Amino acid sequence: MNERDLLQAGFRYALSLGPAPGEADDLVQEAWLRLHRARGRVRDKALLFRAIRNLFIDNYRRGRLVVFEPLDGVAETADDAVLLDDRVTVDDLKAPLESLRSEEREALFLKAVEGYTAQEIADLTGRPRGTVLSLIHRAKRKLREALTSETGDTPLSNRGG
Amino acid sequence: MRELDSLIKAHYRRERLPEDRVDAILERAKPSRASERAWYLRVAALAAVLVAGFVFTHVRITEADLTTRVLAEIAMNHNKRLAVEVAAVDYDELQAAMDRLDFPIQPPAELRADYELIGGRYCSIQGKLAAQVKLRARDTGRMLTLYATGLTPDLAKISRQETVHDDVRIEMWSEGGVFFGLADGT
Repeated sequence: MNERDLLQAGFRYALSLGPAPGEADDLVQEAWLRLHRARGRVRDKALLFRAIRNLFIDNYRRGRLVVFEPLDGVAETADDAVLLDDRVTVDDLKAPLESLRSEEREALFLKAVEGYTAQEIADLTGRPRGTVLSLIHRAKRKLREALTSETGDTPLSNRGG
Repeated sequence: MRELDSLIKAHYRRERLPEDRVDAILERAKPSRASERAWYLRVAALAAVLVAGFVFTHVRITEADLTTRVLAEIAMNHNKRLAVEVAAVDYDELQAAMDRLDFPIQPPAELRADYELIGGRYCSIQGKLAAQVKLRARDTGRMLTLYATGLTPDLAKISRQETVHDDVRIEMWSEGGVFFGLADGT
Protein backbone atom coordinates (compact mmCIF):
# COMPACT_ATOMS: atom_id res chain seq x y z
CA MET A 1 0.00 0.00 0.00
CA ASN A 2 1.57 3.34 -0.97
CA GLU A 3 1.67 6.40 1.25
CA ARG A 4 -1.35 8.06 -0.33
CA ASP A 5 -3.49 4.94 0.14
CA LEU A 6 -2.25 4.63 3.72
CA LEU A 7 -3.27 8.21 4.44
CA GLN A 8 -6.71 7.60 2.96
CA ALA A 9 -7.13 4.41 5.03
CA GLY A 10 -6.04 6.31 8.13
CA PHE A 11 -8.48 9.13 7.35
CA ARG A 12 -11.39 6.69 7.01
CA TYR A 13 -10.41 4.99 10.27
CA ALA A 14 -10.20 8.38 12.01
CA LEU A 15 -13.70 9.16 10.68
CA SER A 16 -14.98 5.97 12.29
CA LEU A 17 -13.75 7.22 15.68
CA GLY A 18 -15.46 10.62 15.60
CA PRO A 19 -18.12 12.16 13.35
CA ALA A 20 -16.56 15.50 12.40
CA PRO A 21 -14.50 15.39 9.16
CA GLY A 22 -12.32 18.25 10.42
CA GLU A 23 -11.32 16.26 13.48
CA ALA A 24 -10.48 13.21 11.38
CA ASP A 25 -8.27 15.33 9.11
CA ASP A 26 -6.33 16.67 12.11
CA LEU A 27 -6.01 13.24 13.69
CA VAL A 28 -4.56 11.56 10.63
CA GLN A 29 -2.16 14.43 9.95
CA GLU A 30 -0.85 14.54 13.52
CA ALA A 31 -0.48 10.75 13.68
CA TRP A 32 1.32 10.68 10.34
CA LEU A 33 3.77 13.41 11.33
CA ARG A 34 4.46 11.81 14.72
CA LEU A 35 5.23 8.46 13.12
CA HIS A 36 7.45 10.14 10.54
CA ARG A 37 9.39 11.98 13.25
CA ALA A 38 9.84 8.75 15.20
CA ARG A 39 10.48 6.28 12.38
CA GLY A 40 11.36 8.18 9.23
CA ARG A 41 8.46 6.82 7.20
CA VAL A 42 5.09 5.15 7.59
CA ARG A 43 4.54 1.73 6.04
CA ASP A 44 2.44 -0.21 8.54
CA LYS A 45 -1.33 0.39 8.49
CA ALA A 46 -1.85 -1.17 11.93
CA LEU A 47 0.82 1.14 13.39
CA LEU A 48 -0.86 4.17 11.77
CA PHE A 49 -4.26 3.08 13.10
CA ARG A 50 -2.78 2.64 16.59
CA ALA A 51 -1.21 6.11 16.48
CA ILE A 52 -4.50 7.66 15.35
CA ARG A 53 -6.36 5.83 18.08
CA ASN A 54 -3.92 6.92 20.81
CA LEU A 55 -4.24 10.54 19.70
CA PHE A 56 -8.03 10.29 19.67
CA ILE A 57 -8.06 8.83 23.19
CA ASP A 58 -5.62 11.47 24.39
CA ASN A 59 -7.94 14.22 23.10
CA TYR A 60 -10.73 12.69 25.15
CA ARG A 61 -8.52 12.50 28.27
CA ARG A 62 -8.02 16.27 28.05
CA GLY A 63 -11.29 17.21 29.73
CA ARG A 64 -14.00 15.67 27.55
CA LEU A 65 -16.67 13.57 29.18
CA VAL A 66 -16.72 9.91 28.16
CA VAL A 67 -19.85 7.97 29.12
CA PHE A 68 -19.80 4.20 29.01
CA GLU A 69 -22.94 2.20 28.37
CA PRO A 70 -23.24 -1.34 29.68
CA LEU A 71 -22.79 -3.91 26.93
CA ASP A 72 -25.32 -6.54 25.96
CA GLY A 73 -25.13 -9.84 27.79
CA VAL A 74 -24.04 -12.48 25.27
CA ALA A 75 -21.49 -11.86 22.56
CA GLU A 76 -22.53 -13.46 19.29
CA THR A 77 -20.31 -14.04 16.30
CA ALA A 78 -19.24 -11.01 14.28
CA ASP A 79 -20.28 -12.75 11.06
CA ASP A 80 -24.05 -12.35 11.30
CA ALA A 81 -24.99 -10.91 7.92
CA VAL A 82 -27.72 -8.29 7.98
CA LEU A 83 -29.73 -8.01 4.76
CA LEU A 84 -31.50 -4.82 3.86
CA ASP A 85 -34.16 -3.86 1.39
CA ASP A 86 -32.85 -2.84 -2.03
CA ARG A 87 -34.27 0.63 -1.49
CA VAL A 88 -31.75 1.32 1.26
CA THR A 89 -28.87 3.30 -0.22
CA VAL A 90 -25.44 4.38 0.98
CA ASP A 91 -26.84 7.87 1.60
CA ASP A 92 -29.31 6.42 4.13
CA LEU A 93 -26.41 5.16 6.22
CA LYS A 94 -24.83 8.49 7.13
CA ALA A 95 -27.11 9.64 9.94
CA PRO A 96 -27.51 6.20 11.60
CA LEU A 97 -23.72 5.73 11.53
CA GLU A 98 -23.16 9.10 13.15
CA SER A 99 -25.62 8.19 15.90
CA LEU A 100 -23.57 5.15 16.93
CA ARG A 101 -21.16 5.43 19.83
CA SER A 102 -17.55 5.92 18.82
CA GLU A 103 -16.45 2.46 19.98
CA GLU A 104 -19.35 0.80 18.12
CA ARG A 105 -18.59 2.64 14.91
CA GLU A 106 -14.88 1.89 15.24
CA ALA A 107 -15.40 -1.85 15.73
CA LEU A 108 -17.88 -2.00 12.86
CA PHE A 109 -15.52 -0.08 10.56
CA LEU A 110 -12.57 -2.35 11.33
CA LYS A 111 -14.71 -5.43 10.70
CA ALA A 112 -16.77 -4.39 7.68
CA VAL A 113 -14.33 -2.09 5.85
CA GLU A 114 -10.87 -3.30 6.85
CA GLY A 115 -11.84 -6.97 7.20
CA TYR A 116 -10.16 -7.42 10.59
CA THR A 117 -11.14 -10.42 12.68
CA ALA A 118 -12.60 -9.87 16.12
CA GLN A 119 -9.28 -10.91 17.67
CA GLU A 120 -7.35 -8.47 15.48
CA ILE A 121 -9.73 -5.69 16.51
CA ALA A 122 -9.31 -6.73 20.14
CA ASP A 123 -5.51 -6.53 19.78
CA LEU A 124 -5.67 -3.10 18.12
CA THR A 125 -8.14 -1.56 20.56
CA GLY A 126 -7.03 -3.28 23.75
CA ARG A 127 -10.53 -4.60 24.39
CA PRO A 128 -11.50 -8.24 25.08
CA ARG A 129 -12.64 -10.18 22.03
CA GLY A 130 -16.08 -10.69 23.59
CA THR A 131 -16.47 -6.94 24.01
CA VAL A 132 -15.56 -6.40 20.35
CA LEU A 133 -18.18 -8.93 19.26
CA SER A 134 -20.79 -7.24 21.46
CA LEU A 135 -19.93 -3.82 20.04
CA ILE A 136 -20.27 -5.05 16.45
CA HIS A 137 -23.51 -6.87 17.21
CA ARG A 138 -25.00 -3.83 18.94
CA ALA A 139 -23.91 -1.48 16.16
CA LYS A 140 -25.50 -3.66 13.50
CA ARG A 141 -28.67 -3.96 15.53
CA LYS A 142 -28.94 -0.18 15.88
CA LEU A 143 -28.32 0.35 12.17
CA ARG A 144 -30.85 -2.30 11.23
CA GLU A 145 -33.48 -0.71 13.45
CA ALA A 146 -32.74 2.79 12.13
CA LEU A 147 -32.80 1.70 8.49
CA THR A 148 -35.94 -0.37 8.95
CA SER A 149 -37.83 2.56 10.43
CA GLU A 150 -36.57 4.84 7.61
CA THR A 151 -37.84 2.59 4.82
CA GLY A 152 -40.98 1.62 6.74
CA ASP A 153 -40.53 -2.01 5.76
CA THR A 154 -41.29 -5.15 7.69
CA PRO A 155 -38.36 -6.44 9.76
CA LEU A 156 -35.26 -7.23 7.74
CA SER A 157 -33.70 -10.64 7.24
CA ASN A 158 -30.92 -11.66 9.57
CA ARG A 159 -29.03 -14.83 8.92
CA GLY A 160 -26.09 -16.28 10.75
CA GLY A 161 -22.85 -16.67 8.84
CA MET B 1 -31.57 -7.54 -0.74
CA ARG B 2 -28.37 -5.72 0.12
CA GLU B 3 -25.91 -6.67 2.81
CA LEU B 4 -25.26 -4.09 5.51
CA ASP B 5 -21.49 -4.68 5.52
CA SER B 6 -21.30 -3.86 1.79
CA LEU B 7 -23.18 -0.61 2.34
CA ILE B 8 -20.88 0.33 5.22
CA LYS B 9 -17.85 -0.39 3.07
CA ALA B 10 -19.27 1.70 0.22
CA HIS B 11 -20.04 4.54 2.63
CA TYR B 12 -16.47 4.76 3.93
CA ARG B 13 -14.87 4.23 0.53
CA ARG B 14 -16.61 7.44 -0.57
CA GLU B 15 -14.84 9.38 2.18
CA ARG B 16 -11.49 10.72 0.99
CA LEU B 17 -9.01 13.34 2.03
CA PRO B 18 -8.74 15.87 -0.79
CA GLU B 19 -5.63 15.21 -2.88
CA ASP B 20 -4.16 18.64 -2.14
CA ARG B 21 -4.49 17.85 1.59
CA VAL B 22 -2.66 14.55 1.06
CA ASP B 23 0.06 16.43 -0.82
CA ALA B 24 0.37 18.92 2.03
CA ILE B 25 0.70 16.20 4.69
CA LEU B 26 3.30 14.26 2.69
CA GLU B 27 5.24 17.46 2.02
CA ARG B 28 5.27 18.37 5.72
CA ALA B 29 6.56 14.93 6.61
CA LYS B 30 9.51 15.18 4.23
CA PRO B 31 12.72 15.88 6.10
CA SER B 32 14.51 19.03 4.95
CA ARG B 33 18.16 18.74 3.89
CA ALA B 34 19.13 20.70 7.00
CA SER B 35 17.26 18.31 9.26
CA GLU B 36 18.78 15.31 7.44
CA ARG B 37 22.28 16.75 8.01
CA ALA B 38 21.35 17.41 11.65
CA TRP B 39 20.18 13.79 11.99
CA TYR B 40 23.47 12.47 10.60
CA LEU B 41 25.39 14.75 12.96
CA ARG B 42 23.33 13.51 15.93
CA VAL B 43 23.97 9.88 15.00
CA ALA B 44 27.68 10.60 14.55
CA ALA B 45 27.79 12.40 17.91
CA LEU B 46 25.96 9.52 19.58
CA ALA B 47 28.36 7.00 18.03
CA ALA B 48 31.33 9.06 19.26
CA VAL B 49 29.85 9.18 22.76
CA LEU B 50 29.27 5.41 22.75
CA VAL B 51 32.81 4.68 21.56
CA ALA B 52 34.31 7.04 24.13
CA GLY B 53 32.10 5.55 26.81
CA PHE B 54 33.03 1.98 25.85
CA VAL B 55 36.72 2.78 26.27
CA PHE B 56 36.02 4.58 29.52
CA THR B 57 34.09 1.75 31.14
CA HIS B 58 37.03 -0.61 30.83
CA VAL B 59 39.01 1.48 33.32
CA ARG B 60 38.66 0.09 36.86
CA ILE B 61 36.96 2.53 39.23
CA THR B 62 35.73 2.33 42.79
CA GLU B 63 32.03 2.31 43.64
CA ALA B 64 32.28 5.81 45.11
CA ASP B 65 33.96 7.07 41.96
CA LEU B 66 31.27 5.39 39.86
CA THR B 67 28.45 6.93 41.91
CA THR B 68 30.02 10.37 41.60
CA ARG B 69 30.53 9.96 37.86
CA VAL B 70 26.94 8.83 37.28
CA LEU B 71 25.60 11.70 39.39
CA ALA B 72 27.74 14.17 37.47
CA GLU B 73 26.58 12.73 34.14
CA ILE B 74 22.91 12.90 35.09
CA ALA B 75 23.26 16.44 36.50
CA MET B 76 25.12 17.63 33.39
CA ASN B 77 22.51 16.16 31.03
CA HIS B 78 19.68 17.58 33.15
CA ASN B 79 21.18 21.07 33.17
CA LYS B 80 21.61 21.04 29.38
CA ARG B 81 17.79 21.13 29.13
CA LEU B 82 17.78 19.57 25.68
CA ALA B 83 14.42 19.21 23.94
CA VAL B 84 12.83 15.81 23.49
CA GLU B 85 13.39 14.08 20.16
CA VAL B 86 10.27 11.95 20.46
CA ALA B 87 7.00 13.36 21.77
CA ALA B 88 4.83 10.69 23.36
CA VAL B 89 1.82 10.45 25.64
CA ASP B 90 2.23 6.86 26.75
CA TYR B 91 5.21 4.61 27.42
CA ASP B 92 4.25 2.05 24.78
CA GLU B 93 4.43 4.77 22.14
CA LEU B 94 7.77 6.00 23.50
CA GLN B 95 9.19 2.48 23.61
CA ALA B 96 8.13 1.85 20.00
CA ALA B 97 9.68 5.12 18.84
CA MET B 98 12.97 4.61 20.71
CA ASP B 99 13.58 1.21 19.22
CA ARG B 100 17.36 1.21 19.72
CA LEU B 101 16.83 0.64 23.43
CA ASP B 102 17.17 -2.94 24.67
CA PHE B 103 15.37 -2.43 27.99
CA PRO B 104 11.84 -1.42 29.00
CA ILE B 105 11.37 2.28 29.80
CA GLN B 106 8.40 1.75 32.16
CA PRO B 107 9.07 3.61 35.45
CA PRO B 108 7.42 2.60 38.75
CA ALA B 109 3.64 2.91 38.91
CA GLU B 110 3.67 5.76 41.40
CA LEU B 111 5.84 7.79 39.06
CA ARG B 112 3.46 7.12 36.16
CA ALA B 113 0.51 8.15 38.31
CA ASP B 114 2.02 11.43 39.54
CA TYR B 115 3.82 12.54 36.39
CA GLU B 116 2.65 13.07 32.83
CA LEU B 117 4.92 11.79 30.06
CA ILE B 118 6.13 14.47 27.63
CA GLY B 119 8.63 12.57 25.52
CA GLY B 120 12.20 11.34 25.34
CA ARG B 121 15.57 11.44 23.65
CA TYR B 122 18.58 9.17 23.49
CA CYS B 123 21.55 9.79 25.75
CA SER B 124 24.14 7.62 27.45
CA ILE B 125 25.09 6.69 31.00
CA GLN B 126 28.61 5.44 31.50
CA GLY B 127 28.88 4.66 27.81
CA LYS B 128 25.68 2.65 27.66
CA LEU B 129 22.77 3.80 25.49
CA ALA B 130 20.13 5.35 27.72
CA ALA B 131 16.81 7.14 27.54
CA GLN B 132 16.25 10.65 28.84
CA VAL B 133 12.53 10.98 29.54
CA LYS B 134 10.82 14.32 30.27
CA LEU B 135 8.06 14.21 32.88
CA ARG B 136 5.70 16.89 34.15
CA ALA B 137 4.07 16.78 37.60
CA ARG B 138 0.31 16.51 37.17
CA ASP B 139 -0.44 18.81 40.14
CA THR B 140 2.28 21.51 39.91
CA GLY B 141 3.52 21.31 36.32
CA ARG B 142 7.11 20.97 37.54
CA MET B 143 9.41 19.29 35.01
CA LEU B 144 11.59 16.34 35.94
CA THR B 145 13.92 14.19 33.90
CA LEU B 146 14.08 10.41 34.22
CA TYR B 147 17.16 8.59 32.98
CA ALA B 148 16.96 4.88 32.27
CA THR B 149 19.45 2.36 30.99
CA GLY B 150 19.97 -1.39 31.13
CA LEU B 151 21.50 -2.51 34.40
CA THR B 152 25.18 -3.35 34.06
CA PRO B 153 27.32 -5.08 36.75
CA ASP B 154 28.91 -1.69 37.52
CA LEU B 155 25.62 0.20 37.79
CA ALA B 156 24.24 -2.59 39.97
CA LYS B 157 26.87 -1.66 42.56
CA ILE B 158 25.23 1.75 43.10
CA SER B 159 22.91 1.54 46.09
CA ARG B 160 19.51 3.26 46.15
CA GLN B 161 20.08 6.85 47.21
CA GLU B 162 18.95 10.42 46.91
CA THR B 163 21.46 13.26 46.86
CA VAL B 164 22.15 16.71 45.43
CA HIS B 165 24.84 17.17 42.82
CA ASP B 166 25.53 20.48 41.02
CA ASP B 167 22.25 21.87 42.47
CA VAL B 168 20.29 18.99 40.97
CA ARG B 169 18.41 16.64 43.29
CA ILE B 170 18.97 13.13 41.95
CA GLU B 171 17.43 9.86 43.07
CA MET B 172 19.02 6.66 41.76
CA TRP B 173 17.79 3.09 41.99
CA SER B 174 17.64 -0.18 40.09
CA GLU B 175 14.47 -2.11 39.34
CA GLY B 176 13.58 -4.92 36.96
CA GLY B 177 16.97 -4.98 35.28
CA VAL B 178 16.91 -1.23 34.61
CA PHE B 179 18.96 1.52 36.25
CA PHE B 180 16.96 4.72 36.88
CA GLY B 181 18.01 8.26 37.75
CA LEU B 182 15.37 10.90 38.48
CA ALA B 183 16.62 14.48 38.27
CA ASP B 184 14.86 17.53 39.66
CA GLY B 185 16.52 20.92 39.77
CA THR B 186 16.45 24.50 38.62
